[in-house]
Amino acid sequence: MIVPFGHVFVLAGLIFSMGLVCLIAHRNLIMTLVGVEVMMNAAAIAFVGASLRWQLMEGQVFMLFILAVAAAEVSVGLALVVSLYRRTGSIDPDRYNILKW
Amino acid sequence: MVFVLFVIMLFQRSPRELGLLSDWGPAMLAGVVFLAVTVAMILKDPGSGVQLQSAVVQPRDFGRFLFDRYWLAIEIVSLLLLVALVAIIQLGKRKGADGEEAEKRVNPIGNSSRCDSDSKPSGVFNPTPKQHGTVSNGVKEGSQ
Repeated sequence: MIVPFGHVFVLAGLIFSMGLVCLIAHRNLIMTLVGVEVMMNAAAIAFVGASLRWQLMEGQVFMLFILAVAAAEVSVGLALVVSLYRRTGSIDPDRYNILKW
Repeated sequence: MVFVLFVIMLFQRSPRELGLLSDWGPAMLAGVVFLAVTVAMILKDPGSGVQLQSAVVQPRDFGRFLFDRYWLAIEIVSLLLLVALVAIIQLGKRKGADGEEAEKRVNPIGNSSRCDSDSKPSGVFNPTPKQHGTVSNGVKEGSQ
């Protein structure tokens, strides 16, 4: 392998910033969740790169945990989005301006 | 990713969706600044030029390491997934209170019609045959 350690982190930072832009810019709850997911994947890439750098297995273990937490987050988030869509007929976060309906 | 399906399912073009430069400009600026700072920090680091050596681990060793040292985290993650499953089931009910009331409305009739063996297969799902079943049951009891 001829990949320097910094390039992996630059890749992780690139993907993380793409997820950040997706999270901030979109006015759509599903795209927001996609952004959070992309940011989690970038953190996982950073963990795996550090695991290779120091030859430790903890990074890959935490990659597994990140996947599990991302699965839980995606499932609960999607259930919430579907429930909100059924109640309000919209997935725009700015439309949710009432607390009781 | 699974998300693509949901995006296709639930995506509707709202008029507020990223039209002008002023909509996605600040977000793009924040992202570019974040990326620049990140890349500068990483490339300043003297350890960033280290060549990565490839490493291979057997799945058996990985599993042994995982369940020896991080068993508590495994349990916590499994509990988290269980809670997520319960939350999905609770949130994904079609209409919560209404459906439960409908079930309660159906159930006593079902219990009453369960007494006679004739109308049991006819009216389980549909309320109106059950009423006919109870009526016929009364007629039958009167005839008996």
